[in-house]
Amino acid sequence: MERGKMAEAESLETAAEHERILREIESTDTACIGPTLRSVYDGEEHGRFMEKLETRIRNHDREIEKMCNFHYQGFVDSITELLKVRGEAQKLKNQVTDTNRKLQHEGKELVIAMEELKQCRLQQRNISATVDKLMLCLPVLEMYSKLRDQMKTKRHYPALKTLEHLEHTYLPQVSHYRFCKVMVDNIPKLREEIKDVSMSDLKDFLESIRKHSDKIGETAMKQAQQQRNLDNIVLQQPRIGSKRKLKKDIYIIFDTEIESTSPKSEQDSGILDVEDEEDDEEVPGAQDLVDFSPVYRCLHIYSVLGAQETFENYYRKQRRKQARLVLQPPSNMHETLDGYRKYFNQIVGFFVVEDHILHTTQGLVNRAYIDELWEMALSKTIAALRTHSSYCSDPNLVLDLKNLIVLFADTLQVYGFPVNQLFDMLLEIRDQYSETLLKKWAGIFRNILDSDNYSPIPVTSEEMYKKVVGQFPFQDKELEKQPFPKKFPFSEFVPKVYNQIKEFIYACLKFSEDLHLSSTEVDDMIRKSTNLLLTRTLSNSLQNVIKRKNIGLTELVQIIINTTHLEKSCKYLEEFITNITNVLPETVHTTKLYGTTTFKDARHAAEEEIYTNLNQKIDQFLQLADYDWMTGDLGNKASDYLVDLIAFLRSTFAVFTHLPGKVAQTACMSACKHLATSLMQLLLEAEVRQLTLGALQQFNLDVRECEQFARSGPVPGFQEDTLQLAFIDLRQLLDLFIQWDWSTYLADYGQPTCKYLRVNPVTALTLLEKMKDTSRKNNMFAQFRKNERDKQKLIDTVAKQLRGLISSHHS
Amino acid sequence: MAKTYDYLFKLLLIGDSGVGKTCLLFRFSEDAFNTTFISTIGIDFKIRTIELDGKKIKLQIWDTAGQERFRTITTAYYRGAMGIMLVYDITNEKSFDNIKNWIRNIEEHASSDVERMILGNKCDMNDKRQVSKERGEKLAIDYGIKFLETSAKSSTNVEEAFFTLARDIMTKLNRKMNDSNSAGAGGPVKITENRSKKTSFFRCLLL
Repeated sequence: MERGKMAEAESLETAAEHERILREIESTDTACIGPTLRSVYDGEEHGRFMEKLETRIRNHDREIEKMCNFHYQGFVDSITELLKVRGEAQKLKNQVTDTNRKLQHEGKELVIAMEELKQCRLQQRNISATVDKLMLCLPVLEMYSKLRDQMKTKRHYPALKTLEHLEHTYLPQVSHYRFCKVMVDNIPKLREEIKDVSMSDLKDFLESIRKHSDKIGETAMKQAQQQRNLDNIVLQQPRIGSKRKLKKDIYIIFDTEIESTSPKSEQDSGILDVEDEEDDEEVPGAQDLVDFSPVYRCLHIYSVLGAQETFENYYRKQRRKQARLVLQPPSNMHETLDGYRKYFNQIVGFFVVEDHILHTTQGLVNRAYIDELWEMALSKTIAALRTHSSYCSDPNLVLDLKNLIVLFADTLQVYGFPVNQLFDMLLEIRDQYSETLLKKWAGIFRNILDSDNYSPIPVTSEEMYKKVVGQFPFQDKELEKQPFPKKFPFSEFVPKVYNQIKEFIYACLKFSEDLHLSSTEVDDMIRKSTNLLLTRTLSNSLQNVIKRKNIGLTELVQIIINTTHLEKSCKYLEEFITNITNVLPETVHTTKLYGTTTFKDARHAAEEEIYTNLNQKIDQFLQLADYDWMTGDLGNKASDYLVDLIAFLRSTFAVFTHLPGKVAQTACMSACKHLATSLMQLLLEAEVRQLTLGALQQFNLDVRECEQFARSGPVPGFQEDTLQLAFIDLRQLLDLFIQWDWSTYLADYGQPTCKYLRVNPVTALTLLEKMKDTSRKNNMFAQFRKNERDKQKLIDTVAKQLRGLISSHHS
Repeated sequence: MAKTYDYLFKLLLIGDSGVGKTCLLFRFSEDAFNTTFISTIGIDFKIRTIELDGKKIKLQIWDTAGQERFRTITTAYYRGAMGIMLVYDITNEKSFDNIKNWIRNIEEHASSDVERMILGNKCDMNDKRQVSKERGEKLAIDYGIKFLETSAKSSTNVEEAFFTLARDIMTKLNRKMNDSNSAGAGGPVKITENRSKKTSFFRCLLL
C-alpha cells in the first residue's frame, strides 16, 4: 500500500521532470544535448520518458502535417524551383572549381620564377658590394706583392718606398680587414728585414771592398804611374796642345775600361754620374771597379728609416776597423817587394774608396774623418816602413821599395792627401839604403880582398893591357914602353875595387831618381855616401885584411902598393861624380871625397903591420937563441939562430924590392931597432944571474953580425951608417965591458964627446953585477989569486961609482 | 933565457910554384887552410914545437918560393936544412916531373946527409888527379926516399909527413951521437954539444 502511494507521488514528480527534459531537448542545440540525455539515463523512468517522448513526437508530427498541408503547394513550387537552382548551382560550382584549379596551376610557375628573381637580385647586390670592397683591397695587395717582388730582387730602397705608400696611403683605407691587420703587423718586420738585408748587403760590400781594395789600389797606382810616364813624355814634347790631346785620349781609354768593368746599378747610376762630373778632369775613376750601390742604398734606406746616424757610425766604425787591418803590415812584408806592393795597394785602395764615398755621399764621411784616418794611416805606414825597411839587407829591394813609395805618395797626392811626410821618410830610407849599400859593398870588398892573389897583374898582350887600363885610370910611360909580358905594379883588387866604387856611386844615384831633388842635393848625397863607403866600408875591409892573423909580408907589401894607386885614382872618382851630377866641384856646397885618407890610413896600417910582422919573425928567431952564459970558451962565429935571422932579413929585403923606399927603410930600421932592443933585453934579463966574459964575447960576435948587416945596406937609401946606429947602445956597452974601459967611462960620463955616451949607468951596473956574481962563484978557486982579488975590488969600486952616478942622476 | 926545447930541426919545403907548400905549412903550424893562392915571395918560415920520445923539438920549417926568379935566394937555405920536403901536386904532371930536378938541386946544394921526403899534395882532388899514387911511390923508392900523399885542405897526412921527417932526423941524430960518442968527435948539432958541455960543467962544480 505504501508503495502505491508513493508511486503515485513519484509519477507526478517524474512526469514534471520529463516535461522539463523534453523542453530542454527542443530548445537546446543538438551538440549540447549530451548532459540532458545523461540526465535521462540517470533517471529510472526510461520507458515512460520514451512514451512521453513518443507522444510529443506525434504531436509535433501532427503539427508538421497540418503545416505541410497548409503550405504544401508553395512548398512543392519552392522545391521544384529549388531543384532547378540546385542544378545551376552545381554547374557554377564546377565552373568555379575548374577555374580555381587552372589558376592554381598557372600561379605555381610564377611563384618559382619570382623566387629565382629574388635570389638573383640578392646575389647581384652582394656581388657589387664585394667588387667594391675588393677594388679597395686590390691596390694594397698589388703594392704588397710589388713589395715582395722588390724584396725578392733585392731592390730594397724602392721596396721601402712601396712599404711607405702601403702603410700611409693604402692600408688605412681598408684597415678593418684581417689580412691588412696582418700586413700592418708585418710592416715593422719588413722594415727590419730590409734594414737587415741592406746591412748585410753593406757588409758584403765592405767585405768585397776589403777584398778589392788591393785591386783598386793597384789600378789607381797604375794610373798614377801612367800619368807620370805620360807627363815625362809630355815634358819632352814642346807643344802643349799635343799634351792636351794625349791626356784626353788616355781618359777615353780609361772611360771605356770603366764602362766595361763596372756593373752599375740602374738605381744608383745617377749618383755615380755626379762623381764623374766632379772628378772628370783630374782622376779617372779607379773606384769604378767596385759597385758602390750597396752603400748608397743602405745609406738611403737608413736615412729613410731615420737611422742615418746609426748607419754613419756603423760605416765609419767598420771602415776604421778595416783601416786598422789594412794598415797592419804582414810580418813578412819586408821579404819581397810584392809584400810591400800589396800593403800599399790596400792602403791606396782604402783611401780611394773613402775619397769616392766622400764625394758621392752627403755626409756619410766627412773631411775630418778622412783626415783623421789619413793621419793614422800616415803614422802607421811610416812606422811600419821604418821597421820593415830596417830588416832589409838587399839594396835592390830597398830601391824598388823606394820607387813603390814614390808611386804610392804620388798616387795619394792625386787624391788630395798630403804626402810630405812620406817624402821625408824616403830621405830616412835613403840613409837606410846607403847603409844597406854599404853593407853589401862591405861584402863585395871582402870578397875581392879575400880572393885576391896579391900579385901584380901580369899582362901578355896589348889587348890585356888596354883592358886593365880601361878599368882603372893608370898611366905609366915606363911600363908602356916595356915589352910584353909585363906586370902592372898593382894586383887585381885595384881595378876591381875602383869599379865597385863606381858601381856604388851608380847605385846611390838610383835612389835619388824621382825624389824631386836638385842636382846639388844629389851630388851632395852621392859624395857623402861615397865618403862613407871609402872612409868606413872600404877602410874597414882593408884594415880587416891588414889586421888578419897570419897575413904575410906579400899581402902587406902589395896592399901598400895597391893603396898608393887607389889613392891616386881618387881624383878620377871626383871627376866621375861630377860627370854624373853635372855639379862642378868648384860649387860652394860640394863635399870633397875623403878617399885619400882611407888609402893613406890603410897604407900606414899595412906599414905598421909589416914592422910588427918582421918584429914577430925576429922574436921567433930570438926564441931559438940558446946562449951558454957560463961558457969559458971564446967563440969564433956568430950564433946559428942569428945567422939565420940575418939571412932571413937580408933575403926579405932583397925580395921586396917593389916596396916604396921609405917604407923599406923604415921597416929595416924598425927591424934593426927591435933586434937591438931584444938583444939588449936578452943580455940584461934577470933570469941570467951571471955571465962570463966568454959569453959576452959570443954575444959580441952576434952583435957584430948585426952591425955588418946594417952596414951592408940591405935596403938602398940609407945615409952611410944610419942603420948601424940602431945597435950603438949595444956596441958601446959591449965595448965598455970587453975593453974593461971603466976609467974612461966614469971620467967622461956626462960629456957629449964621451965614447960611451949611450951606456946608461943602470944598464952598466946590471951587467956588471952579473959579472961580479961570476967572480964570486970563482972565489973558491981564485981566492988567493991576487989578480982576481984586484979585479974583484975594481968591480966593487966601479959598481959603487955607478950607483953614485945613478943616485946623483935621480936626485 | 930559459931554453924551451931540446932539439931544433930545420926543415925545408921545396917544389914547383902552386903545389901547396905554403898551405901544407899553414895547415901544420896553424891547423887552417886558405883557398886563395897567394904566391910566396922569397922565403918564409914557421915554428912549431912537437914532442918525440919525450923530447921537445922545435921545428923551424922554411917555406920557399917555388918561382924560378927566387931560386938563388931559396937555394941558400938548402945548406942549413936537416930535412927537406919535396912537394908536388897530384893534379899537375909537370910538378911531379920536376921532382927529379928538385932532387938534383938538393944533391947540389944541401948537405949530403939531409933527410928527404916526397909529398904528393892535393890528394883531396882525386877527380883531377894526373899522377897516380903508384908513380909517386915508385919515384920515391927509386931515390930511396919516403913518400906520402897529403892534402892540406882536408888535413890528410900533414901531421904524419912532418912527424915522419922529424922522427927520421931524430933517429939519424941519435945514431950519429952514438957514433961520435964512441969516436969522441963533436956532433954536427951545436945544441947537443952545448948540452953535454953544460952537464960537464955542473959536474965540475959538484966536485
